Amino acid sequence: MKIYKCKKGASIIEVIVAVGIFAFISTGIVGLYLSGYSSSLRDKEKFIADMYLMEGFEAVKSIKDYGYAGLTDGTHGLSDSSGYWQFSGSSDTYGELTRSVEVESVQRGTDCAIVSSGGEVDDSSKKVTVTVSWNLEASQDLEYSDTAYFHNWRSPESCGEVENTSLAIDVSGVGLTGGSKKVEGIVLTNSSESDLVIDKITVTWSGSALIQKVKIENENFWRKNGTASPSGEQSSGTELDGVDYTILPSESVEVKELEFDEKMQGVNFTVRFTMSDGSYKGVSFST
Amino acid sequence: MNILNRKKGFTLVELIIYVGVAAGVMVIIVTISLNVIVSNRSLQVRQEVYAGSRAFMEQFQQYIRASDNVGGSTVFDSNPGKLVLDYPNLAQDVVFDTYTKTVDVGGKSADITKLRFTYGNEDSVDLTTDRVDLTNFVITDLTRASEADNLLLEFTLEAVNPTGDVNYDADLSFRTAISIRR
Repeated sequence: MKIYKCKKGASIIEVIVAVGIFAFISTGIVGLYLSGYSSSLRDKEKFIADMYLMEGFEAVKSIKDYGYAGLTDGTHGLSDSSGYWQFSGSSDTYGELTRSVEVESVQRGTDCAIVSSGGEVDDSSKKVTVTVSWNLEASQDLEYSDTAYFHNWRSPESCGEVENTSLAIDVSGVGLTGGSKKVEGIVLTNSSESDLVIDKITVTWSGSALIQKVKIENENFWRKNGTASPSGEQSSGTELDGVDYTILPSESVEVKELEFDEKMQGVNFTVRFTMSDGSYKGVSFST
Repeated sequence: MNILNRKKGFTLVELIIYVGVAAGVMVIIVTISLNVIVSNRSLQVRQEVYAGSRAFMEQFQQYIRASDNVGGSTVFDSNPGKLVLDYPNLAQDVVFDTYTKTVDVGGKSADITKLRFTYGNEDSVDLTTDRVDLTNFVITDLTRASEADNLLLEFTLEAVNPTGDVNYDADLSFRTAISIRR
């Protein structure tokens, strides 16, 4: 009986715990390399699908380049069997991959931004969605999809009227007067057939000088003591919200004075004219 | 009984069981380690094929899109193809082509096809490693009329595996199209 008393073997509980821990660790290790393996298979599939997706967009671009009218609304497949890209059927396949191209019309709202509904159809834009789906060895059903807008750049339909496109700015005659404290000679021309309203002017210059007055033709657009905001002498870059100045169709007007409190020789200027529709146009020059 | 009382070692049966269990555990550990090593190497092989392809496709995309024209000495519709691009502000061409190289893998030698890139008169740069064999590289001209060139590119790459070990097999076939942006 002494033998049994000496025995200090493991109890059944201890053995179970030990085997359990061992199994747990080895499962982890095996699982780790298995997941690495299948993720590398997914990498392969995704890469092939990615390339096939890109081919779809390049093919659509090619069709659009040949003739914008070729981008007909609907769901299409692609074919290169004629030696160039064409829409053919409603999908096409490569190995296990299936690709379809959906062409949709685009609507634009009153501000010309793309809206999903309730806008006006823009005949110069198409929304193209290419979808590649597959069911390969490593994955469940997978799908890649991407969207791009294609535009008819060769003869785009204009959307809305933007005033800044009507404004031409000529600074070739810019010079200093009034003891070098005044800049003159910025000529603004309205090339459109409707009135152009200068709403705000922002003058930016190098140095610490302060601006005191902006005069277009013989009218004070903004003065440091005037009613227009802001009031008082202003530093570079301040937006001057002056008295709206209307340039008639085809009319040219001169900004006769940008008056400062210091001499402005050798100074770099940027002047930005903001129209009543919020669009703007800027010009840079130096004295 | 005096002898038995002094005994503190294992019995023969205990020893046999112990050695048996130890051997079993060792076998399992070694098997797992070997598996991990092999699968790790096999992953590396795959990564070399896939990641390498992704990298050189970026190169194709960038240079084709930015080029002026596809050069006349481009080899279309046959394997291996050769792509010659007239590149802006560059007297010589930008060339994507292949060459054959003999490499040693696992003590055996193999002839492989490598993809390379040449920018003007600069030295050629390899776009695939010595572990990857470009077995198919075909360029098809899908340009319609006088529009911007559209090129269909088809590739097949295989891991170089002259010993034929299935663990080190990896292959990749893909196609895409790229057109010139001008």
